[in-house]
Amino acid sequence: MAALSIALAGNPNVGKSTLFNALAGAGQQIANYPGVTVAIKTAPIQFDPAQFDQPDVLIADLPGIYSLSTFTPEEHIARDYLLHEQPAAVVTVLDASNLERSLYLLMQLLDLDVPVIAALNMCDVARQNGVKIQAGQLSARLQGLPVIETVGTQGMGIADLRLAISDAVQKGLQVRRIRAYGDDLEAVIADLMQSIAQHAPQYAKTRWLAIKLLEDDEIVREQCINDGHVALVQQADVLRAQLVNETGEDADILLADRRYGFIGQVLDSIYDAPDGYVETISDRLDRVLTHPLWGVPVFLFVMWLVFQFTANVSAPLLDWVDGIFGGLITNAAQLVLGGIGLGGTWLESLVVDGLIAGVGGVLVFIPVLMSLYLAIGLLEESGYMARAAFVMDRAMRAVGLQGRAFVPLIVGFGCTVPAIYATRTLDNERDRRVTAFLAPFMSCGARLPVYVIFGTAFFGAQGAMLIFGLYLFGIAVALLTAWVMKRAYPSQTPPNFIIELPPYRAPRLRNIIKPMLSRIGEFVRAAGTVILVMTVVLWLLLSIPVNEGEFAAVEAQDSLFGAMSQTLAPVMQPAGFGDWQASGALITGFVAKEVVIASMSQIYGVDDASATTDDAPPSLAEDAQAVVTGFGEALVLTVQEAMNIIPRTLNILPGVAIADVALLPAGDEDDTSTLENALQNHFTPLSALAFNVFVLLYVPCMSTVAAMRHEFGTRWTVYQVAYTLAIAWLAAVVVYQGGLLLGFG
Amino acid sequence: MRLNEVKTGQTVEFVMADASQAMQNRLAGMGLRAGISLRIIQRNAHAGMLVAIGNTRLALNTQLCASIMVREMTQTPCGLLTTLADAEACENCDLNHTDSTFPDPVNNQIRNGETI
Repeated sequence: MAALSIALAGNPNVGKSTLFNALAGAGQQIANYPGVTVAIKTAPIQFDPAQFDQPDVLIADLPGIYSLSTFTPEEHIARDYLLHEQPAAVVTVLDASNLERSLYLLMQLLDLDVPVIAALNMCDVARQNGVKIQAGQLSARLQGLPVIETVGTQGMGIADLRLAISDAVQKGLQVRRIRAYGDDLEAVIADLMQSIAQHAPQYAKTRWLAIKLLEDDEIVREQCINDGHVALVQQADVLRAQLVNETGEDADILLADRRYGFIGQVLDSIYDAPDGYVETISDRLDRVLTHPLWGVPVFLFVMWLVFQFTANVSAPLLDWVDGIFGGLITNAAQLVLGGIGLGGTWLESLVVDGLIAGVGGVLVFIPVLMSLYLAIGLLEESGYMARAAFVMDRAMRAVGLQGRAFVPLIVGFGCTVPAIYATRTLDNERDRRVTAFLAPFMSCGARLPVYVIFGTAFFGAQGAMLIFGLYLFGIAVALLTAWVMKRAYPSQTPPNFIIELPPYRAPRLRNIIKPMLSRIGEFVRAAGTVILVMTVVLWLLLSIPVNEGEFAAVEAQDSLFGAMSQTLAPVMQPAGFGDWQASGALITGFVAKEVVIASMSQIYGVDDASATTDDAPPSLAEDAQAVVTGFGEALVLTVQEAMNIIPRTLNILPGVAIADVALLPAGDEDDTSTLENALQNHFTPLSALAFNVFVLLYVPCMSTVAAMRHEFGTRWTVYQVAYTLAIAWLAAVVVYQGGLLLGFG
Repeated sequence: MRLNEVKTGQTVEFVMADASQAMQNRLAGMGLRAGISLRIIQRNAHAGMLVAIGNTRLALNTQLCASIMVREMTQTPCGLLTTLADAEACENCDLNHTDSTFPDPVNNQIRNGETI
């Protein structure tokens, strides 16, 4: 038997999560829903064993909602949970400062014919703000529905709430049937309920269904039609038309008015909230943060900080993880395999170049994703994200997206993988898909080294212009794609937009870190396996000999990989780089853009391998020591990067030049001049430009593909891969052929 | 008049929204019921408006503001500036504020008719 569950429902920002944490014992689980930031957290409730000894009552923290319509994914998910999971009771959290609105949700929960317990939360704050409330009276006026005063932040009332829940589970809790809609409407509802009971007895929640049919709820209507109950829908249509005739109002407006009318009666003389306007600190902050003129620059500045944070601050830790896999783990594996006589065999190659490299390829993303989720968590928790959505709404609407879509796109300049996960802040599936589709065109940090090498090799001092131009070109392609998408895949974002601006507050790390860890775990499980498999596939391609050589000991050009590169080369001919080496570099670039330069060095034969082999390989102890000291260094560098955000930010201002903080000496840059020479022999400036355009636009890396598939499924991922390849090829060909026509060849 | 015509610092009474059924429900859920008073705290020609309902702050885009009908606050006989819905709660004068002094009463049937 499934465990009993208790649902926790309430408006956003009423202290629901705090109550959840107070009630929940160990063993929290977060169920993420595909496509949304919305998650339902569940945990067993911790009861006092002396009073109640049932270990498996779960409490489910539903997302914050305003009503049980399906305007947002939050409402949709909460409603589905209440309808299908059939919780034994619903605890609804009422905000004592905002009681009218809280009761509006409670009224709709009562329509579901579920037992409801009300937690009247934050009474202390409300009373401080001049709210007068006689909590004791509230229960009496709601037919004895249990109302428990709580102050979640201080743990007040939690014991009582727990007791009420255990009572509800043990003894059962009466369903309060409050007939709040007035005689005329109640008669209409009763009519419909009777028809439902007669013709569609399989529907359990008849009152709720009748009310939703009267409200003309789109989803309920469709469900009824699909189930073959067109007659019910037609009856509701007739009744609705009658109501308009009699009252001059639409049924949904009438129902809402009656709910509020009833709430007015319930609260009459027991509740008084001052309705005068008192300017708060948040209001003063919003004078700047949502200001008609300053709002957008402030937002761009915040995005700059987010970008610095995700791109730079995580870099030292990323290098450290990379170093562990390339150093300690690889050397240890070689030692073990060598010890059992497998050194130098294909198995060693598979373990080192396939498996270890693959696992490392997954884990290097953890520092990036951590800093991304931390940054987004801070924005959400502080209350700024709601302002950003408002401020950017109009500009992003112009390209068919919503205001929040800006965040993933900015993150994309750091790394595309977290950008794809950042689309979770968007509130509809279409915008998420389109934003993730555009994200790869924001040139990520890993592509930069390619531009730099080519820039210095072919354009010298103008190299910076090439880089800047490529970034702009990526943005232009994204805008163009958005423009096409707007027509091909029309926006689901309703033209009307409203959002509550919660008061600014200090972010609570607990609320950021738990979901962060859960999502990273999910990434490792879902995207990680794909990355691992693809790494092994690439290893196989490089290991299988086509012409000569033996398995796992074959030169690149003689392997299956080389054969593929040679097959691909003619396709690239119109873009000006038709040799197999360039194609091979692009294939490895699909694994990760970071390796394009390394594999070019290898393929063009400028890799001076002999220089390093003279040194004795480091012992395991040295490796282990390097890991430890490396971690310390990485932490110092992380702090350094975080501190450097300040000088780098100030340096944007004209006339300011503050040196970066340097806690550790900078490492030696790789010497790449030999590669530059090799490139000059194989590319012309024009074909180099076309090659860079291709690198900018085609699939960023297989990790992006894995992340896309994880978030949006195989089909959308295939579309994206195909689109990026096509547009990259097309753009490279246009650049090269156009350049030739203009005489730049 | 429409919400987008209201100036910053003014307080008006919400009447209705000319919007989809889903948006109507959304507005009701967020506390925008007929008769509630809204104060405009920021007008932003580019993005929309910030309004205050008690201690709640809502941001609405320009398009939504244009579809919301509001009414200027009513002057009661005793001189109090109030919304039509709250007029009856006036403690300063004995006049029955819900009578014909106020044209077009908004859904008073439950308020006046039934008791709990």
